[in-house]
Amino acid sequence: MIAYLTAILTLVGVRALLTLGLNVQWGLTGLVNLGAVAFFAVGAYTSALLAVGGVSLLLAWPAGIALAAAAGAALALVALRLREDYLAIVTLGFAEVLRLFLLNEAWLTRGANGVTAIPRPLHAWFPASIISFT
Amino acid sequence: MLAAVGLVYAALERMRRSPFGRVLRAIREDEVVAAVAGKPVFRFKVQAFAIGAGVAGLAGVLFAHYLAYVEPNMFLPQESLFVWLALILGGSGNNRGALLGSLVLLGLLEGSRFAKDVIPFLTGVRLAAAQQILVGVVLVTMMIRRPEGLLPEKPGIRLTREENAMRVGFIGLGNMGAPMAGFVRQAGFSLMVHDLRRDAAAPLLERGAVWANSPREVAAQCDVVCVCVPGPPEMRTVTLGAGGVLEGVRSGVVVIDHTTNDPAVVRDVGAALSTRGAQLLDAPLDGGREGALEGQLNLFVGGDEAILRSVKPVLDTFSRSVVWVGEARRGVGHQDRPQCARHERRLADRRVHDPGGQGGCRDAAPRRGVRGRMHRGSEHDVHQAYAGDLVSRRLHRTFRPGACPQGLRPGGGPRPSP
Repeated sequence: MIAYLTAILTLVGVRALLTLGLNVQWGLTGLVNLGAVAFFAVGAYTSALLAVGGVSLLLAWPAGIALAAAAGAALALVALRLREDYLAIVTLGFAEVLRLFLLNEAWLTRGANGVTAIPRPLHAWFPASIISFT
Repeated sequence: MLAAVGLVYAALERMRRSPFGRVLRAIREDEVVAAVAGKPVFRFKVQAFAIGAGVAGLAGVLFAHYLAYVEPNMFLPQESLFVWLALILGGSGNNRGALLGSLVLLGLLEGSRFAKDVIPFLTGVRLAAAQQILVGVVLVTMMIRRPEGLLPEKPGIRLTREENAMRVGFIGLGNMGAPMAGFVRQAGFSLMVHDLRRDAAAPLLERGAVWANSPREVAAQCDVVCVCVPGPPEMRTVTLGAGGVLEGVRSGVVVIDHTTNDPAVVRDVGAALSTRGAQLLDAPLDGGREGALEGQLNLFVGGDEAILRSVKPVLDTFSRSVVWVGEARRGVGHQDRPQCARHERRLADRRVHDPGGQGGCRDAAPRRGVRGRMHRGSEHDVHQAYAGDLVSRRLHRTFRPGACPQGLRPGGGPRPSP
């Protein structure tokens, strides 16, 4: 049960971060981002691939964040020059393009098999009863 | 994980309260105003978007390293929609709302999983469909019952109890006055109105304003009296004439003169009011009829700063900006900058269209006064207003060289630099 709760809380935390991110864009600034999941994916994949490739987590994590932010900046730089509605469309499109990219460019992303055995840094620190749910 | 959420929450909360966050909210509310205030809107928007994307990236990083596995179909478009749902549920513009929204959303999704044990016939597939229905129903209910979310963003401006008790009077419900008074009423102030024509007040009376039979009655009943009449002669009559404001005014009342006025009249009225313990603020309007209709006027207020602060909530209801220009009542001197530009253009046009006519108003003040951020914005408005006039061919009706705006006459005193 406690393992279940931990899992739920972790997922809530992930979602909370996503929502906080969207809040900066929409809640504060009024920018419509229909592709929040794209930046989520950029962060996840960048860090996962780097870490699996043997890069230190201390580098892989910031790299994931930085690449997601850079992708956001690039999209905004292009789309915000047009009317604001286009940002919504561009983000929506970007999310799907990215997903299909991840699915098909197997040489980089391992395609539909996904990236497995991503290091879990804090795993050793907690008793198995708490985190062995997934 | 929770520590990361806590950290990001703290950082974003700080950002929201910082000047940066204020600018972002300003951009959300009205981009043009933020731009006029000199903020590089485009850069701020890109930055905000990048920060939001970076936070989403962090979520992705943690997600990947928690699950130890990622695959492309974890990132379906519906995930973006779930994020939106959480934000709308919790209340946007507000970080606590975002947190609560995610908790409730996941609670719904996960909680409904147990329904399978309780309700027969519910198979895994049906459950998945039922979850989506549930989320949809919750969202629709929210939109109907509580569109601002569970934890709404706190409004920046709220009327305090004293302000609620502030009785506002409005004299002159013409092109400018009527919409301005409408905004005052809309904001929740109690409103008393007077105009030469009673039918001008009809729409306001319907919305809860109270009719007064004379300017005197308004001054006797109200704490703040806005006067918005065509020009200096009318201003003199309304304030100093029979049944005028001066006869009814009590100590502590603030009279705000929105008329484009003659400095001499302003001085006389101010002196007369101060003998009765009342105060005059000189607050000429810029923004034209359009500005008044949209509640987006620019006010250049002369007079006591503390007094201005006490009545600013009233002025804010119909203004884009309220600028204090000094103790001396010379708002007229400031306002005439945009007015000058407008006037000059009309004059030039008049000369083109009416060669040899009676055009030739010597006292159009030089354009060089129109400068600085504030005034760049105003000048932009001038172009708009001018273009509008040309298109609608109102020019010859609205502009007569003989009837120069009063503020353009020389002798308004030295102009304070912006």
